[in-house]
This record gives sequence, C-alpha cells and structure tokens, in this order.
Amino acid sequence: MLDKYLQSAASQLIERASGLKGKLPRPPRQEFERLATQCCDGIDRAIRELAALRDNPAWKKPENASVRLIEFRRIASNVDRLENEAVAPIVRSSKDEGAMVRLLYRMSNEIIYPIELPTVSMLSQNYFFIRTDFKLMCIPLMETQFLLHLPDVYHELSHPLFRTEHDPRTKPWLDAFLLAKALVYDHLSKQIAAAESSRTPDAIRLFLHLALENWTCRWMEEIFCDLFGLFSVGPAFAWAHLHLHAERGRTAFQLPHRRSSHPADAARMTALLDGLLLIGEMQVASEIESRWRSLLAVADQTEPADFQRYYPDKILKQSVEAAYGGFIKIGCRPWPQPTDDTVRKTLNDAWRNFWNSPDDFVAWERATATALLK
Amino acid sequence: MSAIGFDSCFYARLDEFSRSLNHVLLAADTPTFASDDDWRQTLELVQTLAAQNTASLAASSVAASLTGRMGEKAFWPAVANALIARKLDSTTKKELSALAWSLDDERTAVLARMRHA
Repeated sequence: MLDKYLQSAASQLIERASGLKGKLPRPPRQEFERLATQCCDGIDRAIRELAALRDNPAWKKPENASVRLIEFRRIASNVDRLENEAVAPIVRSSKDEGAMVRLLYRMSNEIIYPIELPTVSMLSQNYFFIRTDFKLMCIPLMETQFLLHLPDVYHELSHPLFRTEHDPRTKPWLDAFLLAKALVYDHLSKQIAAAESSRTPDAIRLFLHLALENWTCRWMEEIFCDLFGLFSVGPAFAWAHLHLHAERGRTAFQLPHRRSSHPADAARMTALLDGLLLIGEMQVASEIESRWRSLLAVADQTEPADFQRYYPDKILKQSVEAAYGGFIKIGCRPWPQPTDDTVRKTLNDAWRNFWNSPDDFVAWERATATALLK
Repeated sequence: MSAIGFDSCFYARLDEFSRSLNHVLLAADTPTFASDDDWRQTLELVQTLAAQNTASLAASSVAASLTGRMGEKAFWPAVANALIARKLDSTTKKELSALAWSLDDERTAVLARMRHA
C-alpha cells in the first residue's frame, strides 16, 4: 500500500514544491533576497529527498516501510513550512515591508546591532514574533503606522543572537546569558534541595521544579531579550511592556507551569525597572512603576505569597547587571546617547506625548509615524 | 513577543536529528545510506537520552522534549553501544524506530505550538 501511496503522493509534493519557486516575485525583491535563496535551497533539498524516497530501492524494501513513512511526513512538513511561513510572506508582501526594512536598518545602525538583520514580513497574525530558522521577523500589518508597540522590535532583534554559534560578535552576550542561567539554576536547585528535606507543601515543590525548568529552558532568554530592548530604546521599552500587558496580558503574577514560554509579566517589569535604574533613568522608572502598580490595582491583581520563590528579585537584579555588561561588550550603544538618534528618540517622544498630550496624541502619532517611515 | 522564535529553532534541531535517525535506520541494511554525521548525531541523541552525555545543547533540548514520551531509559546505553559499533540488531532497530516516531510526534506538537502561540 505504502509504495503505491508514495508513488503518487511524493510526485505530487515534488510538483507542489517546485511550483513554489514559480511563485517567487520576478524580478527578485532585494529585501527578500536572502530568504528567497534559503527557500530555493530548502525546496531543492526537499525535492531531492522526495525523489530518493520514491525511487531508491533501499527505501522501497518492505521492512523499511515504517521509517519511509516517517521520512515522508518529515519532508512534507518541511515543504508545508516553506510554503506557509517563508514563500507566502514573500509573495504577499507589499511596499510596507520595504519601509519597515529601512526602519529596521536605521534602528540597527543607532544601536550598532552586531549581526545580520532578519527579513521582515508584515503579515503577522500573532503580535510581533520572529522565526529564527528563516530569520524572518513578523509584524502585524498596521503596526508601522503606530509607535507605541514598536519598541518590541528590539526585543525580537535579540532572539537571533541566541541562535549564533562560534561568533565573536555575540560571545560576550551569550556568556552573560549563560552566567545568568547558572545563577538562577544554582538558586533554584538549592531551594529545591531545601524543599525536599523539609515539610514544604507538594504544590510549592512542583512549582519550584517547573520554575527551574522554565528558567533554564526559555524564561532567561525572554528576560535577556527584554533587557536588550530596554538597553536599546530606554524607557519606551518598559512603557511598551506596560501597554502590552494592559491590552493583552493575563495574570501578571502567573506561577510557573509546564512548557511556559515567558516569565510572569510582573517579574519582567521588575527586571525592566532594575534596568532603567542601571542606565540612570530613575525618574521615569518611578513613573512607570507607579502606573504599573495602578494598573495591577485596577485589574485586582496581587502578588501571591510564594511568588518570590520562583522569581527571586536578587537573581533578577544580577541578571540585569550581567545583561548590561554583555550588551556593552558586544559593542552595542545603550540608551541614552548624547547624539539625537532619530528612531529611538521618536519612540520615547511618543510615550511622553501619549501621557502628556492625550488630546493631540493620535494626530501627532499619525504625522510622526509617517515621517519616520519615509 | 511569542515563543515562536524558540520553537522555530527547536523545529530545525528536531528535523536534523529526525533525518539522521531515519538514515541510520535505513543504513542497517544499506550502510551507504547514512553519513558519518548521521551516525554521530543519532549517537549524540541516544547518549543524551541515556544520560551519558549532555554536552550538546541541541541534543539535550530535543531529549528533554521527549521526556515522558519515551518511558523506560534502561535500554539506551545498549542502543548507544550498537550505534558506536554501527551494528543494529532487531531489538536496537525496534527501539530506534520508536524513537523516530517520538520525534515525529514532537514535530507535530511543535508545529501546533508555533501555529497557536
């Protein structure tokens, strides 16, 4: 059965994969050159693998049927990803991507971003995110016409740094990250050992184990990405975090759970406020903290008694210091600078105007965002 | 600020291990099918599952994702030895085949996470 199935299914998938190349724009668009090349390479590889799977006698042996099916599923999944996550954003792109690429280039120049920039797609259906394997940053369609969430671009720019290897341009940043991970690992391991040898409730023990898993797996990277954003664009990043939580956040004091991708918003804000103090933004840090507390009060959110066990302030502070050291050592220029960096200054002006001139803000933002993207 | 950045990188790692393992399974009968890299990658994953070697970040993240899916760990050292010798008997092939399906399950799960993050 499988042999007959694969004769047609593999042939059809080969046809589909090669058809994807035909969808790529002609003449090629400069902003998608790297991604389009990566797509063509991926398509060629998938076609080679499918042809072998369909035709090679070794794959056709009945005893290899199971692994042959797994291999077919793997290749089909890769073709599916190429189509939906890489070729489709290129095909459906508009002039908006070009404008955003130019803005990203200016952002990266201002902070002296250490590695090659990702490609941009304006078709995100899921806020800002980045596909690190395709090096594709996805941004919601309308986001470039507004300024308040744009600081989150700097957070996304940090994710690819963690995917680099053997690269002196990013090594100090990754060293700082590993140091922070080791600090939290040591701290929570000791907490777990103490909990195991005492009458600590089972729920707390479980949360401690989950916290350890989450911190070492994903949370510290997210905290470092936040801090990269903060050191890049200053207070605007912390304001954007407050904005994101107000609009879309759930429990600010979320306790650890399995496969959690991000630390609790309250812990992220603690790290950001520490970071603002570190870069000398005491006054605005106090203002943000005050508004953050008001927001939590309105939403009736209070810190659970054991929250600090899983998000220790001391470790967060040490992580902030480590991240700042790493940021400086990779040659990035932190906020604030004596020069007038247009993009990051504009993003901070936006937040000042948002609070100080609410009646005029929308018109001001429209004009300023248009000018920024020119 | 979703988790897709992490998952898309993880997907790529998973794909590499899965491809290598599939080739190694085929190489039991047709040795030319697996490259040295395929054998090395598969051994790295199995050694990580056997808790003999956690030096590779890629292997340890993939092995961690399989925790709970793979159950009993006792047979992994024997599988690792078979991979070192590049001689797979029917029992070893059975264990590796189960591992290949587990990687397939995890790939499906990570895709779902990326699409609903």
